Parts: sequence; C-alpha cells; structure tokens
Amino acid sequence: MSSNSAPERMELLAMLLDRCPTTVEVIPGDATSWSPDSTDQELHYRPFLFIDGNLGVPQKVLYALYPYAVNVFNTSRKAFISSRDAPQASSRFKPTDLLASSSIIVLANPSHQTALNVRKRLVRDGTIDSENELRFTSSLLSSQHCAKYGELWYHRRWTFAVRQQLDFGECSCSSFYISLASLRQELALVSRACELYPRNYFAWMHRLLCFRSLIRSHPIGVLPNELGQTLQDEIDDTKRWIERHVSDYSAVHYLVGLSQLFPQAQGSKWGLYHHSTSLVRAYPSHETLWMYTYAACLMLETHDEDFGEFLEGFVRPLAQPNSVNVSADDDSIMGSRHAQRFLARRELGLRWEFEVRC
Amino acid sequence: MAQNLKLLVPLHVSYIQNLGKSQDELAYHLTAHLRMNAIYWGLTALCIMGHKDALDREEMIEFVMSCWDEEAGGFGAHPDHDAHILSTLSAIQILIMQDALDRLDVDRVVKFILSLQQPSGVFAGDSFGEVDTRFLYCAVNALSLLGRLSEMDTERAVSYISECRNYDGGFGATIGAESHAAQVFVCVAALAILDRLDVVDQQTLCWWLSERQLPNGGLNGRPEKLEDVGRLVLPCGLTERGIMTWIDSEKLASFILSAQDPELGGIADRPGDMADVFHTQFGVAGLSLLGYPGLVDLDPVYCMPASIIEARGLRKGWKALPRKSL
Repeated sequence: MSSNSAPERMELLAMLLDRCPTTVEVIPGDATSWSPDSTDQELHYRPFLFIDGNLGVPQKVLYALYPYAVNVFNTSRKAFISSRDAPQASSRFKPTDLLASSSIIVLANPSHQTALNVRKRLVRDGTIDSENELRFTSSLLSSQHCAKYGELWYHRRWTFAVRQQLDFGECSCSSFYISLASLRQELALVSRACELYPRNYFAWMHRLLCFRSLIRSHPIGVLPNELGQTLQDEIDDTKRWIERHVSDYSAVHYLVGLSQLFPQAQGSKWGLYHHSTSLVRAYPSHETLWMYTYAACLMLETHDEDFGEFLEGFVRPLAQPNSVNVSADDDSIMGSRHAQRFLARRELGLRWEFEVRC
Repeated sequence: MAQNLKLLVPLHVSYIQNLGKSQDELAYHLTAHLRMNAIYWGLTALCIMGHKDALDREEMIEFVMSCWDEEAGGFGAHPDHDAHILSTLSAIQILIMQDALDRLDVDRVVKFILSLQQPSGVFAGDSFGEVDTRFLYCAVNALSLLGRLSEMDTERAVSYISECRNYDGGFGATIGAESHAAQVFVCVAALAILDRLDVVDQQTLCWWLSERQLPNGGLNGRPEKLEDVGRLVLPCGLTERGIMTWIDSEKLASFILSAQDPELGGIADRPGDMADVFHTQFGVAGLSLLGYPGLVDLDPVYCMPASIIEARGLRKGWKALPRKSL
C-alpha cells in the first residue's frame, strides 16, 4: 500500500491507532530519516513504523497531516451534529471520517477539547466501545508526547465512569470508579507516564483519584484485607520511587496525601519521618526532601524533643552561616539555605490539620 | 529597574499584531483550541502597553461572536469548537475591554456558567464534567463581571477551595492535588472576588511564594522546577502586604525583561526560548504590577486593566508596587 496522499495517510494512521498499540511515540523527523531493515510488513506501514505492537509516528508527517485531519473533522462533525438533530438523517451518517480524524487530532494535540468531546459523544451512543476507548487512551498516554495532558487523563476517567454506568446502570456518570482488579494496569500506566514526563501533575493526580475511588467504595474504616495490603504496598512503592527521584516533589506530595487516606498503615507516620530524614541527610541540596521532612514532622504533631537528634545534630549545624566556606559548591550552599528555611518555618509555629479528604 | 534592559514596547505591539496574520498554517491549526484565550492575552497586553487600538475592534468582536455555541449558551475557543468556561470567560473579558457587552446574551451565558457548578462547589469546564479550580475561578470572575455573582453557590465554592489548601500553604487543581502556581493564583483570586481571603493562610502561603524565586530572579511554579515568566507575579500581587515583602522585585523584573525576543518581539517563558502570546501577556502584566514605568495599571484579581474593574466597582484590596516615572 503506498501511502503518500493525505487521505491515504490519515486512513493508515487511524487504522494503526485503532489497533491500540502497546506504545505510541511521536518521533523526530520524517519518513526518510527512519529506515528500518525493512521487511515487507514494515514497508506496508510507511511512513509510520509499527514494530511488535509499538507505533512510531514521524513528527513531520503527523504535523503535515494535521490540517487535513482538521478539515475532515470539521465537516464530519457538522454532519454528525445534523444527524443527531434529524433522526431520519442519522441512519445515513457514517462515523468513519469522524473516528479517524478525531484520533489523529487527539494524538497530535491532546488539548483539543472538541475532538475529545466528539469521542465522548460517540462512546456514549455506543459507536465507540468504551473498552476500546480505554485501550486507545492507554496507547496515547504511553507516549511522552501525550503523557502530561490533564484533558486526556480526564477523558480516561470519564470513559471508566461511562463503562460503569453501562455495566451497572449507575446514575452518576461523572463519578470515576475503578476496581481493584483494574488498578494494577492503571498504576503501571501512571508510572510510565511519570518516567516519560517528570513531575507529571495530572498523572499523579490520576493516581490519587484511583485510590480515593477505591477507598470511597468501601464502608468507612472497614477496608478488606486485599485493599489494605494494596495500600501498604503503594506506600512502600512510592517511598522507593522517591529514593530514585529525589527532586520529585510531586511524589512526596502524593505520598503525604496517600498516608492521610490510609491512616492505619503500619507505623506510617514515624516511617515517613525516618524515611525523609535519612534522605535529606544524604541529599541536603534538594528542596523536595526538606519539604518531605517538614511534612513528616507536621504529621507527627509531637514536640521538638522527639526530633532532637535530627534538629541539633544535623539541621542546626548545617544552617550555620559559617558552616559553608567561600569555595563551597552550589550544592553545599543550597543545603545550608534549605536548613535555615526549615528552622525558620518551624519557628513560625505553623500547624496543619491533616484530615482525610475524600 | 534593570540597568541595561528596557521593555521593547513597539516590538511587542507588532508581535501581537502579526499573530493574527500568521502565514504558518500549522501553528494556526495547532493553537485553534486556544484562539479565544490568545486574543484575550494579546488584547490585555496591548492595553497594559497603552496600544489597545493596535488590533481592529470590529474584527475582534465579530470573531468573538462567531465562537458562540448556540446549543450550549457559551463560547468556544474558535468557530465550531464546543463551549467551554475558559473561552467563555475570555470572550466576556474581551467584550468588556472593547466596550461591547451589549452584544452578549447575558442571561444565557449566566445559565451556562451556573449549570457547570458541581454539588461539591467546584465548577466543571464544560458539560462533560472535568473539574479544576481554574474553572471555578473562571466562573467567579465571569459572574462577577456580569454582576450575577449571587446566583452561584458561593458558600460551597469557598469550602471547596479551602479543601484544596495543602499543608505547604499552596493550592491544587482539585482536593488533594499538588500546590501549583497557576492554582494558587486562581484560588486566591477567586477568594478575593468572593471576599473570603480569610481562607488563605497568608503566612504559610507567602513562605511558599517566596520559595518560588530562584537565584536568577525568576519564579518557578513548583519546588525544583525551572523558572518561568508566567508564574506567580499575580498571586504575589494579591497578598495583603503586597509583593515587596516576599520576593526580590528588581531581580524578577530583570528576569522578565531578559526573556524578551529582541528581534521578533514577544516574551518567552525564560531567556533563550521562543516567545508566545501567553508569556508576553504575563510578562507585561508582571512588569506593570512591579511598577515598570510607562505601563497602564493592571488589576491582578481579574487580570484586566484596573480602570475597567474600578469603573464596575469591583476593585479589591490588592497592592502593586508604585509606578516608577519614565
């Protein structure tokens, strides 16, 4: 199949996206800069790369296709709207163009709310299967190009809610629900997105919303063993993540929030205190770790004496103006500055009421 | 003010004028979903620089009205785009700045906005339900400008915002979400409009704000992220004691000026990057609040010229730095 014209390329790309590839990536350059040792099958997909379920879309090809896809989208969206309003026209409406063009628009431009909304309407009326849309969004969110977009993460949650409604007839469509069985895949998706795009605001938010949804679906205070264990594992996994990403404040914020959702976790508050203080001793130039320690101290609500060794043995000496000599590197200077701020913040006597917020 | 750098006003004016004439089809298409916002940013920047008439008024009003979504009763970002609260606010702001509010079906727009409030008090962006404190701010701002603020559930909105307050003093996009500059701005500004700044823990928040300033003078949006011109000058203007106490204004102004594109005009997120209209607007807005000479006063709560907000009786208790003389 030769795919050189815009219509042909759109059809081919839409078909490949519809296969819900394991990963999708927008790759630099155009078709000429990527020449795999071409098997017949791989040539079949040119200018796109599709190898072992992984889709590569050359950026120049995608952006050259975009204006064409937008034109098709605008026309077919108008036809779709007319068909909704005039029942006799609805049987004549063919969604192919709308499906294809919207999938390309959303890949190239995940903020395109109107394209996402059209797809929502098509999911709602059954033209798009909700399971398929979940796989489609999973493909897109596996790419660095798309991973940071809040609109796409919401689109995924919305689709979960619709699926719930279709399966169980629940009234509240806007209520995101995820089962324990689906959780593992969701967490893997978020973790990948956070590796691809560090400090991924909406991915971390999505992660927290998954756990809030799980906890909310159980009677207050009564968590089944499996869920309790899952939460415990998540707290431990997040601590490991922070050890590997010491400037990832988003992960710290998430961990603090998660601990509040699950106050009965084993030794959690002192656990966080010991974890944070050991990290900040090892990497004192990182603001993230000082904030982690500050939060952990706040959560403990005990007196300074309990933090005595940490404060007197580590923080105060580091905070001394003359602890850092003239030829010290930036890291040492930062460490000293953070220590000073830490002490000053504590001296303000700020208190915080950590509550379970669901 | 910065010794060597000046605000290159004529260059930025022509930069904004040229945006509408862009020959680059791709850039135009890729930003269509933001067009209404972009026009609002461009117009506001021009107003602050004293060149409001650099863009054609009638053309702009016609464009705004062409984005009206009759089914929803709100404005999309572009013709044939769904109505959304972000573009609806921008449309209202543009019409007010162009003194063309008579073109608006106010009752219908108010109905659209009110329909987006959720039981929890927050607002969705559109009928599909994505919630974010940004949308809450848009609703409060828009309803306030239209004189219909009392028709929303203000109590619930305030309580939602207070639940978005984090232990570090900042605010997030939803309950439990990380503190972020953009969310700090929208939450604090919304509270200011609702006369509920008592919800803000001023001291903790100001600590957090002051920690955003980096050695190069720029502000970042979150701990350990890069500096960005778009961040935070507005929330700094909103705190009771004003900006001066919490950040180094000279350094911040220098940082903004150094992010200008001296050839093509416009301001980027940081020096060396490509300019865009979003950062041009926030750079100029920031400089106005920092007292840069020759600029028009900006109201940081509504992010519109201060005179317009004052004329509507909506000015709140914010403080900018005194305007330096030329």
